[in-house]
Amino acid sequence: MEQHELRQWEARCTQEEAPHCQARCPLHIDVRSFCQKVAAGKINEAWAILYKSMPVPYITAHLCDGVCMESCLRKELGGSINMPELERHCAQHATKTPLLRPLPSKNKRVLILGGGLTALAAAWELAKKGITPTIASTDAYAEISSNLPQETLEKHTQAFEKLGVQFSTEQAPKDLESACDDWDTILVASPELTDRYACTVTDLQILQTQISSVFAVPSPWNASTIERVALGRTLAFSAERSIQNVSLIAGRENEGPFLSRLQTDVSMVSSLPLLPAGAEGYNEATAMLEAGRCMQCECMQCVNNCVFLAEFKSYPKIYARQIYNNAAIVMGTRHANKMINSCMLCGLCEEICPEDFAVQDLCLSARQEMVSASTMPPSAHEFALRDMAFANTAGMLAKNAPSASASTYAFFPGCQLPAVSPHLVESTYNYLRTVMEEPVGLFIHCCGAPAHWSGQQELSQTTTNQISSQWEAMGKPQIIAGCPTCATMFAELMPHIPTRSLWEVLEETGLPPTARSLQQPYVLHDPCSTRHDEPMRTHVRSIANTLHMNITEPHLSEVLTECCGYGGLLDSANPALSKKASQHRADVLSQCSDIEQDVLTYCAMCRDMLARTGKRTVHLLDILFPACNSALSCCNADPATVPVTGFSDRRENRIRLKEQLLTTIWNEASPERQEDLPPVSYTADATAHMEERRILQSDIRKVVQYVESTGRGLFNTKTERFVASFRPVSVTYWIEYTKDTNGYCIHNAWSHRMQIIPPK
Amino acid sequence: MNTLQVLHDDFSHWNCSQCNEPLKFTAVELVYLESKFSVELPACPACGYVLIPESLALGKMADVEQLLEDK
Repeated sequence: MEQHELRQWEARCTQEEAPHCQARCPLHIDVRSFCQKVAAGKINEAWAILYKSMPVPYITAHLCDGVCMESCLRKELGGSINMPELERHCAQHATKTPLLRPLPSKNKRVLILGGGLTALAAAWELAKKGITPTIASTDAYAEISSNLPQETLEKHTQAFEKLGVQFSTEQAPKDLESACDDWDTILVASPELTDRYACTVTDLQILQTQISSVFAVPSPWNASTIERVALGRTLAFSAERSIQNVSLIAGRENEGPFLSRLQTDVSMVSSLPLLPAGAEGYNEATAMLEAGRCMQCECMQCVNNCVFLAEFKSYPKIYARQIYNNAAIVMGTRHANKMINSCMLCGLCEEICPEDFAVQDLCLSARQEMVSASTMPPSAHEFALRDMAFANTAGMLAKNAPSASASTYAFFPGCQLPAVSPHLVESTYNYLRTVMEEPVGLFIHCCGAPAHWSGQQELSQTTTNQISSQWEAMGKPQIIAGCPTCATMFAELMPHIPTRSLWEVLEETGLPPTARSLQQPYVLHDPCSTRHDEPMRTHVRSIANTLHMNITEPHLSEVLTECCGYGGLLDSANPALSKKASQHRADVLSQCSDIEQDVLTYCAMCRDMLARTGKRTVHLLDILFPACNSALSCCNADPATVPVTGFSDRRENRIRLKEQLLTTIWNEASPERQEDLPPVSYTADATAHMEERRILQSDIRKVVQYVESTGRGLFNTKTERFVASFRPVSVTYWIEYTKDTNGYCIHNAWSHRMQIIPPK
Repeated sequence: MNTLQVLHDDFSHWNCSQCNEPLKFTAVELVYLESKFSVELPACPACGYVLIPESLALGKMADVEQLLEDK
C-alpha cells in the first residue's frame, strides 16, 4: 500500500470525526468527555475539561448559550443535552481547578483595544502562551458583570492576575499605524472600535486588517455570547502567529464551527426526556442524569456488527494504519499479521459503512502483499491449502454423464458438500440427470476460494486455469453451482464460464418428490457469499415457499447477512475467533424469534460452522433429499442433529463419494486403496486433540509407517507407552501409542513446525 | 550459541526403543524460518533420537514459532 492509498483509506472512516455538538461549538468543547465525566459524578475532571479548553472559563461556563444543542442528536430523542446548565453546575460546584501554567514569557506585547468577552478571551489565550496582553479599556467587564455572580468574577480576576493580564486606562492611541511601533500586535476587540479606527478586515477567517499586525473583529457583527468568546480566541491565535512570523492561515480551516462527517446510527436509541433544571440549576444527581443522556456519539457501526473488527479493539481507520505500518517493518515484529488474517472477507462492513469502507479489500490486498513479500506466516493458511490440494487431486472428479461425450450442464457441488454430506452430492446429481433433458456431467473440484482468500494469487490463478481447461474438456457445459462461494468465484474470477445456481435450476425443473414437507418454522441464514447474489437468495426463498416452509428472517439477513466464521479462512488462521464468530451468528439466529427455531441454510460450511455451536441447523438439500445412503453413511433421521464432520472424515468422505459414484454411475472400478499398515485406532482423547490441533489420520499413519519401517521411537517405562515422530514436509507429527496384536492404538498426538537437527 | 534449558522434568524413565538406552539431556539444534536455537533436550545418547514432549511443543515452542512467523 502506498502512502496516498493509506490516506484515502483513512479518510473514509469517520470514527475520529468530532461529534456534531463539538463541531458546532465555536470553541469545540469536548462535550462527549465532559458529559461522561459529569455522568460518572467526576465533576472536578469535567471542570478540568472546560477549564483547559475555554478562554476565561469561569465566565464562559456561566454565559455559554449552548449553540451545540442545535446539532445534538438527542434533539429529536427527548431533547438536546442541556449543556449550558451542566457547564454552570460544573463551574459552581467543582472543588478543584487545574493549575494555570502559562508558557515562559516571550517578551512580546499585545495591545487589546476595547473590553468585553472578546477582549477578555483574547487576553486569556495570549497570556497562557507567554505573550503579555494589555487590555485598553476603562471598564472591560461592563457588558457581563451584571450576569455573573460576584464569586465567579472574583475567581476569574484571581486567575487573570496570575496570568499577568494588564489593564490600561490610558488614552487609547490615535492611530494604529504609529501605535504599532510600541506594540508587537494590536487587537481591536469591538465592532465600534473597528469603525472608529477605520479598520478594514481583509480576511474574515484570520481577522487581519489592512495593517498587517493589526487584527480586528468585523463590523457590523452580531455575535452570540460564545461566538464573541471564540472571536477573542481567533484574534489571539492570529496575534501569536503574527508574532512568531509563521503562516497566518495554515491548518485553521476548522477553527470556527464546521460540519462533521461523523455518522451515528440512532435508529435503535430510545427517547429520553430532558431533565429540567430548577431555579438553582441542577444538583449533583440531576446533573448526572442529564449528562447521562448524552449518547456519546460515535460511528463504530461496522465494529458493532462484526466479531472480527471488535476483536482487535479498534476501528477501520486505525486498522488501515496498522496494516500500512505492518508492511513497512523490515526488522521487528509484524503485530498486525493476526489481524490481517482474521478478516472473514465477508464485506458486511462495506454494506454497513455510510462511506463504504471495505475492510475486506484492505485485508485481502494486505495478504497478497504479504505472500509476494514472503512475510505471510506459514502456519496461517497451510492446513486449509493442503485441504484444497487434496480436494483437487484425490477428491477431484470431472466426468461427463455416462455414455455422453460432452456435457451441456455440469453439476459443480464445490469441495465442502462432498466432504460433509457426500450423500447429498449423489442424490442431487442423480436427480439433475433425471429431470434435465440435456446431458449433465459432474465436476467435483475446489473453486479456488481458499487460495484467493489466503492471498495466494498464483495458486488461485493455477486453480482457475485447471477448472477452465477441465471445463473445456467437458465440452464447455453450463455450470450448476451448488455452493454459494463457488458461484461467487465463478462470477468474479471465471466470468467466461456460464454459471447458474443449483437453486435456480431446481426451481425451474421442479423440486424432487422426495422433498420433506415440514410445518415447523425455520430461521433462514444467508451465506455471506450471497451478499451480492440477490437472485440466488430469491430462488432459495422461492423453494422454501414452494415447500410451504415457514421462514423467519433474522436481524441481519440478505445483503446484511453475517459470516458463519469460515469466510476468509478464519477457521485456519484464528480458530478461536472463528468459533466466536460462529457462536455470535448462532446467537443472533436464536434471538430472532420467541421460540427457538432450527436454522435453514444453503452452504455446507455454514451448516457445519453453526452446527458446531450446538445450534440445530439443516442444509436446504437435507430437506430436498432426505433419503440416506448407507454406502455414504453420514446422514441421520434428523439432519439438524448430524454431528460436525471432522477434518479426517472430510477427506474420507470425498474419497468414498468418488469411489461410490465411479462404481454406481460410471461402472468404473476404483483402484484398491492399498496400505501395508497394521490397523490404527484412536482413543476419544486422541481424536479430540487431533481435531483441535489440525492433525489428520493420514498424518498419523505416516508416523506409523515410519515406525514400522525403521523401528525407531521412544518408550516411557512409567506409562508403558511409545512415542514416535515423523516430519513429512513442514510439520513434525508426534504420536503416543500402544501396540498389540490388534495394531496401533493412538492415545495422543501433537505437532510442531520447528525442525530438529539431531545431535551428532 | 548459548544452550537454552527449557525442560526441568526428569526423563530418566524414557528409553530409546531401538538402542535401549535411557535418554539424556543433550544440546540439540532447533531450526525455524532461518532462526537457529540450541536447546537441552532429552535424546538417545547412541542414535540421537530427540524427544519433544507435548507440553513443550504446544507451549514454549509454539510461542516461539508464532513469534518467528511474525518477524
